Amino acid sequence: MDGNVNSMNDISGKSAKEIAEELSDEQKMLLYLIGLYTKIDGEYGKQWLKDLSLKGLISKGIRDKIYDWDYAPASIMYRGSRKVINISQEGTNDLNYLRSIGLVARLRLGTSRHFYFNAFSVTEEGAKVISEIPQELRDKIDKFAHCKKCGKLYEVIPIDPEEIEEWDDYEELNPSKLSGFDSKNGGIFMVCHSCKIKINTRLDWIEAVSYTCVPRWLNVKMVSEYDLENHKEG
Amino acid sequence: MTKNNLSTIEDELEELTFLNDVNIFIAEYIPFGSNHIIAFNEELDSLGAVEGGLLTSLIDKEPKKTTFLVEEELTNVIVRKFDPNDFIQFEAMITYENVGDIEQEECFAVHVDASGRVIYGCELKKLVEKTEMHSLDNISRVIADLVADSSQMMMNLLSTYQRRLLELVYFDRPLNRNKFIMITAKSIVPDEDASFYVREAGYRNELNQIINQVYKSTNLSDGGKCFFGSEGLILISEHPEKYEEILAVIGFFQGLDIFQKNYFSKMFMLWDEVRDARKKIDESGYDPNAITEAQTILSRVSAAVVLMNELLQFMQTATEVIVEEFNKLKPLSDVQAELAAFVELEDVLDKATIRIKDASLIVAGLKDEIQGVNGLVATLSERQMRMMNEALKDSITSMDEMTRSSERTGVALNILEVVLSGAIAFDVLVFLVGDYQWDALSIWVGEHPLVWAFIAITAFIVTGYGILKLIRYLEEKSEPNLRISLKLGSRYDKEKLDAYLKSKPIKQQQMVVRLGSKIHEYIWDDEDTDKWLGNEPNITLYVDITNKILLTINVDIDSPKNIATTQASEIILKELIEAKVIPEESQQFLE
Repeated sequence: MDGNVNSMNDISGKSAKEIAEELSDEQKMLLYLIGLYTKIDGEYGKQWLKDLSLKGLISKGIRDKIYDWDYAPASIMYRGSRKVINISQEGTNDLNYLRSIGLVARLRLGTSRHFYFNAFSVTEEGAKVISEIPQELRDKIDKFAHCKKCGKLYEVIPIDPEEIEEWDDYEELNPSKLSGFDSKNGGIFMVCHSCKIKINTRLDWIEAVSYTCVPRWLNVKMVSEYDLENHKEG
Repeated sequence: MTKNNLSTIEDELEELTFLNDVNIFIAEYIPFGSNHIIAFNEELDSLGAVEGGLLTSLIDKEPKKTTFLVEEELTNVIVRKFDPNDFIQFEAMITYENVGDIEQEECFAVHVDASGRVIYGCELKKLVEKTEMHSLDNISRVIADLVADSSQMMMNLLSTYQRRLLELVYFDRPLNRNKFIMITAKSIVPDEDASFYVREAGYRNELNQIINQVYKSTNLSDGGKCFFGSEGLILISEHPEKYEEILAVIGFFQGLDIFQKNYFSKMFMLWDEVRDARKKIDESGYDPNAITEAQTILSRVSAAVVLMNELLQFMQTATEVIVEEFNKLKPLSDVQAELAAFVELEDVLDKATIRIKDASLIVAGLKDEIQGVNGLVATLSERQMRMMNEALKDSITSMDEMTRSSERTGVALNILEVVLSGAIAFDVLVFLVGDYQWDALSIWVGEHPLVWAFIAITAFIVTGYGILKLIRYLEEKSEPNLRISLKLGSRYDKEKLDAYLKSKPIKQQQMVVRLGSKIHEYIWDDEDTDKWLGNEPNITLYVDITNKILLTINVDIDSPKNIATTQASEIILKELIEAKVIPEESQQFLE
């Protein structure tokens, strides 16, 4: 990956075209995706994209092979409590890179449940760079983030298991056939209200691998130890 | 084994880093004390004659039945070592259903001691059918599985009190709690300088997947490497066992650190809740529910603060115990000292105590704040009570006035009624004699004027009395004669209630929203006179739809015929039971 916050590029004095050329395809598509969700009346950066929605889009984007990133499960604060979800370290890294060179801005705000979350938007500089992103990359993101029936941008929202029944009249596109996975457990969904369509981003679907492990005690220096054998009769 | 039961990963992983001879240790802090260890030993039947057994958190709710079914997950536990008061070490074989038919043989070691240090450990024998060169990408999935399953397993073993503490600190989702990961491996591929993995984004990202945010890395003097992150540590060494005793101390303090971070988040959340209570008080001028809501918030926060305070004591004692253990390890071997210096263990030890003291100040502040807000609520409640008393007094005076006025009006009306009845009596007589045109009678009246006057007055009294009796009869008839009110407070079946109400001609429905509940009121007239023994009752049903409780049912019958209150109660209860709205046991209300 090119994106590396530690080896931050100096973009001062560079044109938008030069900056765009220095970005990786993943970074360009990420910038464009944030741009799409923060655009009002053709103007970028007018609203903010919530962190959880972005995480959902990234998770879905990786599964759909839009982004060449990996993800792995991690326990994070999720809507006021803890939850294990898939986090893409590469995605986070590229997002941080875009922030570090001033193309994306982060806003931190509170919730009614007394927690803070992040939201992202493109800066003025970011909007200029978006105009230099090649059409083929834009097309990939446009196809991914817009409803195939009506062409509207999907809303990306959390649906709790308790309210999932209210969404029964929304058709679920590409439901997973994986054993053990059930959209009835809620999650982060891409939703088109006009066409009544929902797509589970499977952000909180923790994939499993086959493995075998045997017990292994860490050597703890306890003051007293009491051997079980001493207590056995016979 | 097919590819399908090796992994459910949909992503094409770009694997860069691999480890060999991997041991995974997961450390966490759970509030424990000697008494909990004693209870824990009993729970695990440490002194049992036969090793091992299955455990569940299920409670026997049917003590009078011979057998029972267990549908929830079971844990197979074998105790290996223990001290009745200090610690217990056991093996746990996880039998939870695996996701996507993936084959997993999950058996790990668990160390629990009175300080609250819990360490789960396992040696990774096989991963995706490979016995070596395990990628960090795949290891991260194993860790996620172990973290989740260890939480589930421990919840089956902890006391209700401990579970409550974990629910409090981990925002009611203790099963999703994070833990400190420690991985030891004998070699890493590619074998580069430690700084390489942190410098190169791709490698750093893979480390981050395991240990969250990698802070720093070092090359160890024995040729190994160590990476330290916000939620984990990876140690590469030919002889990792040399580090284990110090890892046990590091694991405790890092586990405690994670616990304290969640503890502080919870604490700030409680502060915010008290702020919400204050806001409610400001709204009490126009919101009638505000004071009740503020009181509910304060009660909840007060209960939480009591537990938060107790947690401080647990943490303080635990820290002292592990500091003592660390001191007993001294003098540290070179490799131990190197690792301790790398993770700045001495500094962590000092800060853990400082953080607990700091937390105690915040808890004390929160207690004072709650007391202050409680005082405000009490003042407002008192003021509201005083205002209510004054309003009540005014109302009583006004009602008294109205009663007197009504009495006066009543007397006047009665007089009018009597006078009017006299007039009617005279009119009747006039009707009979036709303006005194009945000559014989006129002559007789002329001859006996006093007798006639007596007859007239008697007719007046008789008519007046008759009219008064008639009014009383009509008044009695207009009042409800039979009324029963059954306060059931019984849980109901929502589907059956909906079906029951659908079958009734509901003529009125109201809803009252109170704190934490929505009360629906349904009113209808039951025209089934056969069932009601010739009567047509008016029925009112009160239901708490939020908590699914059937609160009260009232039956009013005007001019009841052949029916007593007990019969009416029986009829309505039988109807509800037959419709399966309420359970059959509700019949006991009549006994």
